[in-house]
Order: sequence, then C-alpha cells, then structure tokens
Amino acid sequence: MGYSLSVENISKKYDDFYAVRGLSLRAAPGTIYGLLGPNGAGKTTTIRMVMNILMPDEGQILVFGEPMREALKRRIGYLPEERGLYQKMKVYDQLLFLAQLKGLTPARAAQRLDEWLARMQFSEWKNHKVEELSKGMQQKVQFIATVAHDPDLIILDEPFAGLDPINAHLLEDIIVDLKKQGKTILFSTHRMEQVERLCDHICLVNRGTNILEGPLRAIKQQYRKNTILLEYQGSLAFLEGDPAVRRLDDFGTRAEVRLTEEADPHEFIRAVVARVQVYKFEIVEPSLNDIFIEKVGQSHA
Amino acid sequence: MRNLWLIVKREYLQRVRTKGFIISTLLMPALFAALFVVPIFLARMQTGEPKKVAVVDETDALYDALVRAVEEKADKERPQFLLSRVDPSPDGEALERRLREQVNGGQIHAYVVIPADILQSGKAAYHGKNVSNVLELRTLESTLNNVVITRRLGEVGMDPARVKAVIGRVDMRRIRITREGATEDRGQAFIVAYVMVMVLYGSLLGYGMTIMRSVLEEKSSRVVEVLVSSVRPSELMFGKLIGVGAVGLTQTALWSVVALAFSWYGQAMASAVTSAGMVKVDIPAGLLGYFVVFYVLGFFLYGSMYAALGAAVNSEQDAQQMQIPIMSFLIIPLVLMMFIINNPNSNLAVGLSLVPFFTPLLMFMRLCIQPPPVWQVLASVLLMALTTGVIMIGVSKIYRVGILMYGKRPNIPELVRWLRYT
Repeated sequence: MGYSLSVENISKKYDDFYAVRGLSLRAAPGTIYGLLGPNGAGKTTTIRMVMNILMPDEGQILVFGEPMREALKRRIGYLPEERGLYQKMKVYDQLLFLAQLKGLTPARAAQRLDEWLARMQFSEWKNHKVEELSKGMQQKVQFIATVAHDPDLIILDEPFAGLDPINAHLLEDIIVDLKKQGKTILFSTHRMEQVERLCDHICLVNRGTNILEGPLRAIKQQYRKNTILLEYQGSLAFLEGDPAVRRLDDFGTRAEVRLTEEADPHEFIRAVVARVQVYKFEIVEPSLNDIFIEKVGQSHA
Repeated sequence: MRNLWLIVKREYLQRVRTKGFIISTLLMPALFAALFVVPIFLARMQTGEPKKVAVVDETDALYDALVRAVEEKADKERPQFLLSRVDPSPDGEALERRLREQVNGGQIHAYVVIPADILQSGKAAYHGKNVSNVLELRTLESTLNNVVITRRLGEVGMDPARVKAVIGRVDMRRIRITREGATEDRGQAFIVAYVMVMVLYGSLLGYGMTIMRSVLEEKSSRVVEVLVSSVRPSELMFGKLIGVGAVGLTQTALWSVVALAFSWYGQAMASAVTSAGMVKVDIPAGLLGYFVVFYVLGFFLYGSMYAALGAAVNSEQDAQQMQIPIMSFLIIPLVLMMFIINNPNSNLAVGLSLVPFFTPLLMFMRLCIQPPPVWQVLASVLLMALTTGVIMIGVSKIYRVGILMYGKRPNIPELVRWLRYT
C-alpha cells in the first residue's frame, strides 16, 4: 500500500527568505505521524502547501498517490493551529455548513454529526452560538468539523492546545481509534510526551528543513541508551572527573548520570556497585525532548 | 460550483436574518413615510380644527369680504380659520391689551389688525403666540392681499375678474421626449434620478464595506483557514460577493416596492388635500433594468476591491485609511451630479461616464436625465465588464495571499508583489 501523503523535497520562498527548504516526509495509512519543530520552523507553511492553499516553488506533493488537487481536499480533514469558527453561527448550523463544503449531502452530514456530537459528549451544546462557548469547547467543535466527513488523511495542527486533561485524553483515544481504522494522522505539536505516546513516525523540522525523520522506535534506538538512573546510599563524589561521565545530576539518594557516547553503561554500573550501595538502577532511553533539544541546538550551531 | 452555491447561501441567509438587515430595511421606508406621508397626514389633522382669529377692521369695510374669501379658500368641510369681528375702539391700547389677554388665555388663536389706511399703506399686522407658522400666515396674508387688491380695483373702476384674466400667468408644461414617446414631467424625472443615484451610491458603498468587514471578520476569527481547506480562495471570494450582492439587491427591491406604495399613497393624499392634479411618479421599467445592470457590475467592481482591502489589512482602522482611494471613485460622480444634469451630453460627461470606475453612477445618471446614444451605453457596459474582470483576477490574487497574512499592514509595493505569488 502506498503512502497517503508523500512530500518530496518541497521549498517555499518568500522574497529572500526560505520558509521551507527541501523538506520531505512520507506518511503511510494506519499510522500517526508527528511533525515537530520550534515555532517558525515551517510546519504551518508545509501543512498549507499540503492543503493546496499555498503552492510550493519546488518539489512535489502527492496525496493518496496523486498530485495534490482541489478535489482531494474532500478526503482530507484539517484542524488549523489557529482555531477558526464563525462566532455568530450556531454550532450545528456551522458544522452542517462545513461538512457540506466537504461534499456530504445534508442528510449524510446530519447523521455523521449526530454520531460525532454524541461521541464528543457535545450534543447538548449544538444549538448554542459559538461565541457562547469556552475555548476548549470551541476546540471540540473544530475537531468535529475536521473529522465529520470521514477523511482518510487527518492533519491536526496542535490539536491538544487548550484542552483540559479529560478532553485531551478523550481526543487521544479518538486519534488512536482513527489510526486503527486505517486513517493517516499527521499532527504537529510541542508536547513531547504525547508524541512519544502516540506517534509511529516523526519528522523534526527546523528552519524549513527536516533535520530528523523516521520511525520513532528507530530514531530512539539510534540514540544510544546512555542515561542511567540510580537510587543509592553512599557518596558519588568519586565520579567527579570520570572521563565516561558527561553530566551528573546528584540528588543525594537519587542521581541521573549521562554518559559519553563511547562509554559502556554496563561497565559503568559495575564500577558504581563496587563503591556504593545501589538499591535500583535503570538504563533509560534518551527522551524525545533531549533529542529535540540536541538536534535543534546542533542545527543552530 | 456546489461549494460556491453553499457559500452564497450561507452568506445570504446569515445576513438576511440579522437584526441589522431587518432594521435597516424597515427603517428606510419608515423614514420615507416620515418624510412624505406624515406631513400630509398632519396637515389634514391640523385643518380639522379651525383657528379662532379676531379681526380688528379699522376700515370697517373689509371684514365681510375677508370672511367670504377665507370661506372660499378653505376646504368646505374644514375651514382653516374661524374669524370673529372686534369693533375698533377709540382707546386702541386698551383694546389691544384685552385681545392680548384673550390670546394668552387661549380664547382666541391670534388677532389681525387692519388699519384704516390699508388701501394706501398696504400694511396690516398679525398678533399671535406663534408667528413661525409660515403656511398659516401666508394663507391669511394672501387672502387679505386679494381682498385689498379687489377693493382697490373697484375704487378705480376696474372689474377684478377682467384684470385677473388680463394678468393671468403663463404655465409652461415640460414634456420629456424619449425614444419611446413623450411624457409630461413636473420635475419628477429629476427626483427619480436623484433618489435612484443616491440609492445606487449608498448600496455600492455600503455593501462594499459589508464585504470588507465580512472578509476581515473571517480573517480575524481565523475561520478562513478552515474554509480554504475545503474550497478555493477564489470560490470563497466570489461566493461572498454574490451572497452579499444578492442581499443588497433584495434590500433595494424591498425598498422600491415600499417606496412605490408610499409614493402612491402620498400622491393620493396630496391630491386629496391640495386638489392639485395628480403627479404621476413612475419609474420606467427600462431604468430599473439599467439600475440592476449597473448595480451588479458596480458591485462586482467595488465589492472585489473592498474584498481585497479586507484581506490585506488586519483591523478596521487600517481599512478606514486605505479605503479612501476606493471611496473617492464613488464620491467624484456625486460632486459632478449637478453638472451632469445640466450638461448630460458634454464631452466631459460623455468621457467620464465611459471611465469604468465612474460608469455605474455617471452613466446611470445620464440615463435618468437624457438617454445617451446606445453605443455609449453599450461601450460603457463593455468597458466596465472588462475592467471588472481584470480587477477581479488581480484582486483574487491579493485576496488569496492576504487572507492568510497576519502582522503589519502591507504597503502598495507589497501588494503588487503579492500579485506575483503563486
């Protein structure tokens, strides 16, 4: 099966400034793809090019294996970063309008909306005007508008921003559910713990270019397991000046030790066990957060 | 096409349902009523109760003639004045004091003093609480005037009826010749032209600004990004233009119906009151057709420019400044209106009415006053359609870039650069 979305080496230039430069990504059906990057990295520009709102100056975008064209918009659901709804319109009228723009018949749209409103626990609000709703509630309306037409490719720009933990959890469940139905979900976020929990694939963008792309597992394995958590009794003073230690955060009975790339964690633990009383130790993967900061830092250097 | 229709429908229904639309649609006819019907209605009410006016006739010869004249002039059922005779007194001051008290006390409305030498001096005096009721004063004055002149003529041995026949005024009727024939005009062509041009101007400007606000609202509420993920920006812009334009046509159509009904009612009332011949104000169907043509073309021309303006700026304050050039295109024809009415076929009028930005108002003005040659009308419509097409292509590019641009207000070179973005 081909990719739902494949972006090949696209660039977008505004006067002398490249908003996106040589960016590529590929998202397969039934996967969740995380688009990460600091503010102003070019994520929104990329998404707009995928949505045919902007045209790339170079490169090409294939959606469901075809060059992007207007008719394919109906198979895509898009939740923009800046939420936008008509403030004076009623929730239901608005959703009906947006769903019809995606090609649903009024009857089909009404049926889908009833299902989604029930699922999002939002039916009681459907006759309220949008301006009467809180930000988090508007977000739920916006999400329903994104998925009501049963799109195969769902693009979510910062979907969790502004949601309380209960609703964030509800949304996570729905996203995983959509993935199980074989949908492709592309989402951008700053929240690393959600990426680690949800994403199969990630693409790290900085300054318009992807600096890291691939399956999350592979990326994390690529970064060696070189951080060790210790619970101990005694003194770790002997580690000061050890060439294998890159960084030591000692909290008295708990410590986090980051080793250099060359050091062998197993050897290091044997050495520590010989000197102090160790109750517990764990060799942990680097967090995505660490990778993110490291890669972005490198690309700025 | 389906999307375009959905956008048009939403835009139209959302607008027609607003309180603002309903109020402004009802308010105009209400103003119309206030301007035309109410005064006539009030005038009738006023005459319902005759006013008591005391007359001190020092000549002792004119009172009876005056009473007769007032009765002749008045509507038989509702005499405007009820005169009463007060004998002049040697003690003029005491008499006047007494009459003043009666005026203040409300027993009489006013009193008129006709001095003994009125035939020579031609002077009389009206004493009342209200001396600003011009219509009432004029009626009384001209009645007295007629009485005095008749008396003077009698004294020099002339027959008032013959004199009246001799000095009878010449009445020149105005017959307006059109290709369809000729119609009598009592100034209604001017009024129709004026009202229709003003409605056209108001609709183009008002609904242009409505477009601008609507684009700005979609931009600042960020709903535009959701919309362009479903439809082309150009579909969105055309949908908005057609939807808002249709709202404007709906409103104008409603106004026309109400205005015609009121003017018919007003005429009927006016003819009943003044017994003047009925003035027939009918708006020729051809003119209404031209109104629609120039409204639609003008609306697309100005509406699309306003749409681009709304897309380019981020706040209404910014828009206010930048709309001045657009607005001035609409105001210049109004400034020229009197000139065009006096010289509808001058070179300047012909030339300017062919300039597409001025065409909707100027050509329509000329059509109202004196139909220009057919080729000029066709040429102006064609030129305007072409210009509107070109402007719309440019404007849809600015719109497409502008709706997703936030931040500082762009200047003209930046707008030009937007035209080149793809």
